[in-house]
Amino acid sequence: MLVLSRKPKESIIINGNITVSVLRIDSDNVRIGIEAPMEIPVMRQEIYNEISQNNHAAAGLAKAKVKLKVKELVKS
Amino acid sequence: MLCHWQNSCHAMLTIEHKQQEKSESTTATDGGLKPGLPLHFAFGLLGFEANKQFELISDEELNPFQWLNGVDADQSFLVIQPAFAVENYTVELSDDDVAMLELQNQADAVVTCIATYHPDESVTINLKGPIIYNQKTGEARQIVPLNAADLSLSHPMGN
Repeated sequence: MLVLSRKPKESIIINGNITVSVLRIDSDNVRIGIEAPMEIPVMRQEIYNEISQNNHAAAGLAKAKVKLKVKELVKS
Repeated sequence: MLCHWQNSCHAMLTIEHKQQEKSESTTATDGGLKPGLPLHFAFGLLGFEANKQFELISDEELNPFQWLNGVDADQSFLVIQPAFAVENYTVELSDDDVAMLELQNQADAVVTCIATYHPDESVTINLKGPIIYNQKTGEARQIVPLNAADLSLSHPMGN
C-alpha cells in the first residue's frame, strides 16, 4: 500500500484524472472529497461490501427450488 | 434534457417507483417464458464486475418476479420491482448515474431489486442496492442511491 501524509486542503491525484482531497480533519473523522470521471463508481467500502455479499448470496441459487418457494409467495 | 438535472444545485433524479400496469397479456405458452430484455451493465453488479451482459426474463409462473440471467456468465438473479414489496420506495440518483444510464426522461427509468432466497426459505429483497435500467437503451447499473442509508439491504418478502 502506498502511504502518503497530507494536510487539510491538500490532495492526491490518481491516474491523472481522479483527485482525492482532504477537506477537514476532526479528532477521529476525516472529510474527504473525491473527484472522478463519472464512469468510475465511488462508494463507501462498507456499503460496497454489504451489497456485494448480498449479491453473492442471491446468485447461484438452485433455480428449481427458488421457483417452488416463489410460487408460494406469488400465490399468497 | 439531461443538462436540466445537471445544472440545478442539488440535481438528482428522484424516482418514485409506481407499480407498473399488470396488464401483461397472456400470450406466452412456452412455460410462461418470454424473450428476454437485453441489459448492459457497464460495471457489472457489485462483486461481479466482470459480468456485463444480462437478460431480464419474465416468467409468468413467477410474475411479478423476473430472472436476471447472465449472458457472459452462468448466473441468475431473481429480481422484483420494489412496488410489489414496499410502498413509497424512492431512490435518488446522482448526476453521474443519470448520465451513465443515458436517461433523457424519468419515464425511461425502471427500478428493480435483487431478491435473495435464504436457507430458511425466507425471501428478502435488496432495496439498498437497486438496479436501475433505461428501458429504451438497455443500459443498466446497480446503484447505491444517495438515500441508501434509509434503505434496507434485506427487506422481508411475503409471509
